[in-house]
Amino acid sequence: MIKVNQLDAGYGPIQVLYEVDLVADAQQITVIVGPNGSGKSTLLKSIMGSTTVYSGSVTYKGRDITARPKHQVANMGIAYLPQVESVFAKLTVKENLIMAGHALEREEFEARQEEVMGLFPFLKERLKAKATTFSGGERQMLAMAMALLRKPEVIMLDEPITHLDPKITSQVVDKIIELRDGLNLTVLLVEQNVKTALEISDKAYLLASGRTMYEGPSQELLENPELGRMYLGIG
Amino acid sequence: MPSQELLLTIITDISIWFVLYLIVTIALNLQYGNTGIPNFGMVLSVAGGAYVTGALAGRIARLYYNVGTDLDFVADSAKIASMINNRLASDPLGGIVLFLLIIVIAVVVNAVLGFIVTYPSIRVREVYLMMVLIAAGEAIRIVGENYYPLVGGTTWVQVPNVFIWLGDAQRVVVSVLFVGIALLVFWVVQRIVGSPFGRLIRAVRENETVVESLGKNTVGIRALVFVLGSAIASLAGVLYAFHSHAVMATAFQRSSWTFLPWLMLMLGGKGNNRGALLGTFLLIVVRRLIMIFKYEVQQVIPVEAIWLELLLMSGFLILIMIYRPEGLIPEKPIKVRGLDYEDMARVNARNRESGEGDEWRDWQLE
Amino acid sequence: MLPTYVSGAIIYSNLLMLLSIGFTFAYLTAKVPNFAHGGNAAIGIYVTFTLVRIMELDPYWAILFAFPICGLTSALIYKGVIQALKRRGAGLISLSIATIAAQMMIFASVNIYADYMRGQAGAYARVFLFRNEDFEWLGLPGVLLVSTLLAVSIITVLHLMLTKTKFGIATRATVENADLAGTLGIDTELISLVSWFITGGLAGVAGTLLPLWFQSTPYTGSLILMSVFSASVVGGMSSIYGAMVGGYVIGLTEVLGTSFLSDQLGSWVLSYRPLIPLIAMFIILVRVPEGLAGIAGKIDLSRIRESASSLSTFARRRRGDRDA
Repeated sequence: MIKVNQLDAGYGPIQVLYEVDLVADAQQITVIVGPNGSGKSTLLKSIMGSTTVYSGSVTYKGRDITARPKHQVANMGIAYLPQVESVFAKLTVKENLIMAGHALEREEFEARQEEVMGLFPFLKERLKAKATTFSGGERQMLAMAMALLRKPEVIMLDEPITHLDPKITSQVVDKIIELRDGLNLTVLLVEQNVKTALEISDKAYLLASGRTMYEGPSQELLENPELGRMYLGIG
Repeated sequence: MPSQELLLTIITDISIWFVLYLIVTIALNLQYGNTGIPNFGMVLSVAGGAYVTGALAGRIARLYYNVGTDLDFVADSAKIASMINNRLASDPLGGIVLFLLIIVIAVVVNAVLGFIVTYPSIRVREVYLMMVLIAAGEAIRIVGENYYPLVGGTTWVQVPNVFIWLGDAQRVVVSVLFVGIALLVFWVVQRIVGSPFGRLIRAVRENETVVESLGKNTVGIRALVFVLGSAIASLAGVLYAFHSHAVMATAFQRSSWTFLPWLMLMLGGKGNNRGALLGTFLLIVVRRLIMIFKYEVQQVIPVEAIWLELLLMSGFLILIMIYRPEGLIPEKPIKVRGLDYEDMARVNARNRESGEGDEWRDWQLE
Repeated sequence: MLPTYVSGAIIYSNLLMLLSIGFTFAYLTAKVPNFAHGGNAAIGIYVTFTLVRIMELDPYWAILFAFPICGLTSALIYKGVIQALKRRGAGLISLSIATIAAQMMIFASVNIYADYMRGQAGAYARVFLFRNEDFEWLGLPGVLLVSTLLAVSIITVLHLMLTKTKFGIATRATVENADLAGTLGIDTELISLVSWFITGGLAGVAGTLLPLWFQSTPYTGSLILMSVFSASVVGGMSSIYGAMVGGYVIGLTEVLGTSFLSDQLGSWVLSYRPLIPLIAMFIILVRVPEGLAGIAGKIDLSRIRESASSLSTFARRRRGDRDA
């Protein structure tokens, strides 16, 4: 689905990623883990087109999307949930959803809004509320609702459960699994909560200092305490 | 072959303008090129220096020599000035003292003015700072054009010729003197810029937050640099006034004294004084050429030279910013001991890595 | 019959409000201050001049011409200069310098045009006042009525657009978080471009009405920009509603304040009028830098509504209303 090939990227003159390779297979959950500052968020942002690319390429379903303007990438079917500020706090829930579905015809939008409210029922009563009144977990859910409303093929999540209340974490984790199993989406996940991330994903990448250190089935990384200790501090 | 007289005139003409604009551009480079303060109100300091000269030189001199004290200073400024000049012709010490005294007063007054302007604005959002500075430049023009006793409002005020005692050698000696002053300013600012303080202000330009977290008062540093730059730029106003023997408030337009120095700095290369020098020189020559060929141009394009010049210059600045923003002499990246340029930018990148929001000033390293 | 200075105050405040709404709006969408805003007003002024002196039409036709001309000028500045610079990674200050350069280009062009007009229409091309070309209705000057009508309708239209249309909501989204809007597939550059077109056009329209009451020169556009700065700072460059209030506050302060001071101190005060908004700007920045919109933001309206509703529920229960 998404192939990143020998990507050198960063912000302006500062390089963060060095020769990064990544393949996110269709309808699988691929996870990117690594220490703080290793470039995980930058990698997602590079796929989206928000960073400066020095060399290398990003392709989506075979088409080159390297450094394309992000709204074009979004309209091609890639959804991205950033780590912070994933919803428009000053807009109401309804307006947020309208933004998500801005490209849709009225009927289609109404239909999808219904679907999405089925997945996240708590939104139904809060349609007119401004997103500022929502808790962190609720905002994540709203962000996910917005992403799903667009019926993307790929969904990229940047640390969706790191800052969440443990009670909600399992709900969100279940939703992520549902994305792959129920909705057949390709999921690309960046997470700090390594154990959980590895447990639910199919393939894992370990990023450190901007380079890919390990690539392989998540199970392997889970069971390999040495790698884990070296980079992630588990085990 | 132009006569020796004409050649001398052209050279002294160019060198005067070069001197004046070099001082202003160096001041601007100190404020913007090195510290990242967008001084869109440079005209405030230049006009300030000229106004001090126009308002005080004559008044101080007439009190000292006790001439023309019963006349109205502004209305009869020409008469008063010629009386003063008569005394100055045989009093070289008086001329020199007056010259230096005015410089000191102008520098102090404009340093204070610079402080007043930055007081509300240096710590708030950059947009506000820019607006305040533009407005301050306009404010001084309004005061100058309307407060008659200052520099004659929309008329003008005559300034005594402090170099009249040099006789025929005046023109050459004064040009040389002014060039010397400009070079002195250049040298002093080069020293500042190369010193640990210079590295500090560039660090503030790159990442104020990091420098702040190291315990430095970045707001105070920026204010200090601005005040310093204002003081230096006012020198140009003083020299201008003493050179033209008159001060006219309407001559201090922001298109000439704010906009043009910016063009010179961006053309030459911001962040380094050699760039300032090159940019200033090139544009002075271009302007003089336009002046010389003004008549020919107006035959073809029936347009006032000043507007055509402004139109071309502003278009040119836009082109420079798009195609060669670093200027002709790009600034060399500088390592700041204990505060690595690249390290700081890496800290920025790491902040963005962990998902914190964008800050304009951070990675678009200006 | 209104006293002249009251008419003047209202007209000035209406036009200043239109200009500050535009200035703030352009800044909020593109995150760059449009220092060429005054230039668009200057173009508007000379559109009126051309229509009245050269084409001998009623001055109000100028509105029809000025809106597209100034809108296009503003859009051109955005597309040709701002976008080109943004693509090359330019920061806030570089972009601002570029708009100042654009302002200088417009300023020079307007002066060239004024000089040319002087050849066609006489010396008054550089200084003119068209109060006599204006109509009167019920003893009130036409421009008073038109400017007020324009102000009210533009505010209404803007508010409706921002709250009821998809484009308006997308604009508010872009203002809040352009990055997020982009990831949802919204073309934020297009939104900024359109908003600069609209605000440029509005500045032009405001400019067309200025000569109907105020003496106008090629410098008027740049001068009024100082008051626009002040109005925007008072409003707090974070909401156009703030700019609306700011425009009126500064407009009234400027005109009525000058009038009052000149009564007390003498007519010499009048030429220092532009200093009033500047002083106001200073004071606001020292005391309340976030402006009126900032203060309003601190009062969380939704919390007040929630507390109010829970209070009323509580009160109903106490009264024995079992269903509350």
